[in-house]
Amino acid sequence: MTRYLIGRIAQVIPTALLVSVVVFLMLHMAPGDPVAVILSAKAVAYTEDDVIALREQLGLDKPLIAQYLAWVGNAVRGDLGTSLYLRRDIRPLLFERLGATAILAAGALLFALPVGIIGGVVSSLLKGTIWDRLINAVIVMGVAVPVFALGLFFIVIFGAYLRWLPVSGMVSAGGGDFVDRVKHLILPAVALGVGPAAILARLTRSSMLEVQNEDYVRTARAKGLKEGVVTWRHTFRNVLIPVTTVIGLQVGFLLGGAVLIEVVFGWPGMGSLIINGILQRDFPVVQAGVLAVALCYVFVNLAVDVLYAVIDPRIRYGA
Amino acid sequence: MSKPRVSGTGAAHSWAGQPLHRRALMQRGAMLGLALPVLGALGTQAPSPAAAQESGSGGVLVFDLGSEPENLDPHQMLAYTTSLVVYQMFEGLVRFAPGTLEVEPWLAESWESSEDGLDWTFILRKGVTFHDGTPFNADAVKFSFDRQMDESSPFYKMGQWSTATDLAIIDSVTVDGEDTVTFHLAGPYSKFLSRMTGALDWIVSPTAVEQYGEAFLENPVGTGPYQLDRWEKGQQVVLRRNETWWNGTPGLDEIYFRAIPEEGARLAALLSGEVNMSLDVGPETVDLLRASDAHTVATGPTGAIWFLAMNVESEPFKDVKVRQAVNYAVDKRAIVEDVLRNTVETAYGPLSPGFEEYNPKVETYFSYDPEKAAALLAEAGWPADREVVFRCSIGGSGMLLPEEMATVIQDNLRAIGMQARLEVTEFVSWMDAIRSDQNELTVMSWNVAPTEPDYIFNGVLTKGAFPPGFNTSHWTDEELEQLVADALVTADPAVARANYERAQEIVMERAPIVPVCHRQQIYGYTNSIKNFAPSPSMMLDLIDVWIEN
Repeated sequence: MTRYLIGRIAQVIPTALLVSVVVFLMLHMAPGDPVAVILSAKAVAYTEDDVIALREQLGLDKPLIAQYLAWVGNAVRGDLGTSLYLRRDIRPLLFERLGATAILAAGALLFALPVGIIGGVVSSLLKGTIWDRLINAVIVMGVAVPVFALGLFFIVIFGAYLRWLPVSGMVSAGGGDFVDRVKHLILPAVALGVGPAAILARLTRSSMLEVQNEDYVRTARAKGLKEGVVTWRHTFRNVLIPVTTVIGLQVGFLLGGAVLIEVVFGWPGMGSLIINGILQRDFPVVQAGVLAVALCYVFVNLAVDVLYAVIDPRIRYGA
Repeated sequence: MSKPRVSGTGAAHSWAGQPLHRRALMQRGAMLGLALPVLGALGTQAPSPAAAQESGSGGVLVFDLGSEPENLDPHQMLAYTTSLVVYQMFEGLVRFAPGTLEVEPWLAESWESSEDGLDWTFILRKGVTFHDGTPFNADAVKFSFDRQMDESSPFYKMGQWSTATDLAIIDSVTVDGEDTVTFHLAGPYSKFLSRMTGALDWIVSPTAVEQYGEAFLENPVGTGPYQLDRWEKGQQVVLRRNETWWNGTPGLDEIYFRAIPEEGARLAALLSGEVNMSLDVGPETVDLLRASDAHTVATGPTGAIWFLAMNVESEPFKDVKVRQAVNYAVDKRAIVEDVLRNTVETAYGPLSPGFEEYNPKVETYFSYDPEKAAALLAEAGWPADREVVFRCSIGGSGMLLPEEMATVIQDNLRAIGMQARLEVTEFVSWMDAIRSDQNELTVMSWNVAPTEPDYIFNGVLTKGAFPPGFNTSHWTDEELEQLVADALVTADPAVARANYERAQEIVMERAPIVPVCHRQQIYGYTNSIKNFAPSPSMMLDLIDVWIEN
């Protein structure tokens, strides 16, 4: 068990390094010179000398490899640099935004888990009925509709038309108490959670159906156990393993999908930070933001792997 | 900056798609008033009284800017939307009187200039204090300029941007007593007073700057009608009424500046009452708000121009006949009415009608006439197989709906026998491409307040603005250069005006551009907001605004 864990954790380091290289290269090879963007934001004609001076000031005159090493070296020590546009230290900025995204992702998960799992179980129990088909239709829609379209749909229906819920930001003007915050969370969290809920439901359903045909389930039924006991104790527990994997992957999806949902709902999280950073060619912010999201993904997957070992004895001993 | 289609408006005011920089608007742009006192004359006027048609006060304004401010220091801010927030907290020695482009005394009670126009002495208003209690006086005025101009000041350039070159017309500022301050200019400058309305000339509290250092960016302290209550990052900037303001009681209790980036959400927030005023909503939103009984759409002028730039040094556009043909070919009505749903004004020349120097004669040069265009093109011997590269950026709200507009134009050109290959790229790549000598034809947008014609001419139409500047037409004309240069230093406003009027005609005669439309300021708001009107100077006047319960 310990060896498995150590081995698994050790894998994080090369993954994180690879992520950092990709993030760095992606930005530095993208079209658009940050120096030109910054200088032209000043709306005055600038000279070649200005370009050279600013490039030097930003360290962009050094070879790419040197720039990369300097960046990674600082990042490891917790120094993520300064935003070119906002003129602020990136680390506190990142933590503020990471917090907001975490709340959004947690809200989405809070919606997706019960809805997805219960939907899947119910649909498997009612297999072949009209209800099963109905649930399936909803699932297909949930998977297929793009998250931002769903967000806009919610905004129009629940914000503009019914006026039940606020559509933008985390708090109201003058508000900010718990109820106000929860109200602001509902629409973006549900919009973000629909996709994962649908995927979970589909997986739960198929796993349930698969497990129902296993020998031990048949044995349980043969022993005369009640159907409810068979479903929950013998079937559902075994369904949890693949479901846990998918939940782990969905957390990654939530972080990615949050980028779009945050823009639609004006949610001040990582997504809007990264998008604005890209538009303003604020390299340090984008690098730090993408790296943070990627690392979250890596760590969530690590957590899921560790969780397996706890849930599933086969993995524990197999390692 | 350019925004992806999904996020709609975003940085609503921008030049060439960029956030409108203070230099373009506040310092260089929002400057020229007709009522320029003759040099040497003495100006003394009381500030205009509150022109309230409906009396009342109080209320909370929730204003959707579309994008969050980058900082709140008038000498460091970048975006036009930011200037609207900062304007509530800071004041200059003079300002544009509400509803006009006339300069009136503000933190200064009066001024006089020397015979040669090089020394300007201001007598300051007494009894004014900053939000932190610091008294406003001549030292504070000098401090506000020295922190930008004087490299030996310990508070010099405390942010990212150096503003010294923007203030280059000012040689030095001297304190001549508690309430007297003199500006010594580097040379005669006809627009000095209107330039003094700009953000770089707003006065900051020296105590606060000393106390906060670079953190003044987030802790602004001025003398204005509203003061900072708190800035919840990523959420909202909250201002409250300055209870000890020197000029009476400002109308609103509180102002919340929020930033909703997505167009659909902006509309929903306005309809549901989550916000009660929005800046620069999109064309579809304007249609919906106009149809609503509970909302008002108010528009105001800008000095912005959206145009086609033809590189006169490139092979296709060397011949003025070809450039005239393109001017006749573009169907501006289709663009203004069908694409932009009448949210913009049709453009006929380089200056918008918002400028007091606007010359209506420009309207007589070109009308939509494809047949005449085709004839001119034939006359110019245009080869049938020639293809022009037509560049367009995908975004930037100052760019309006560039792709849709460019597609109409591409069609118009095809109709007269000119094949244009539309190259639509992301904003930054586009910006690099259009400033290359190889550029042939591109969409352009240049955004300034309608106060200073110089920033149109010297921004996109003179030799000084050749790339890396934004004269992407690579066009220069000796007569125009002279007229514009003279207008800037003449002591006679009538001469300046005549020069600018002639300059507009020259542009249309030589046709290096096709003026297409002028963006407008568009405010959408609930009917409970009283006493609001967009300002000709593009600032946001909220002193007399109040909200009905």
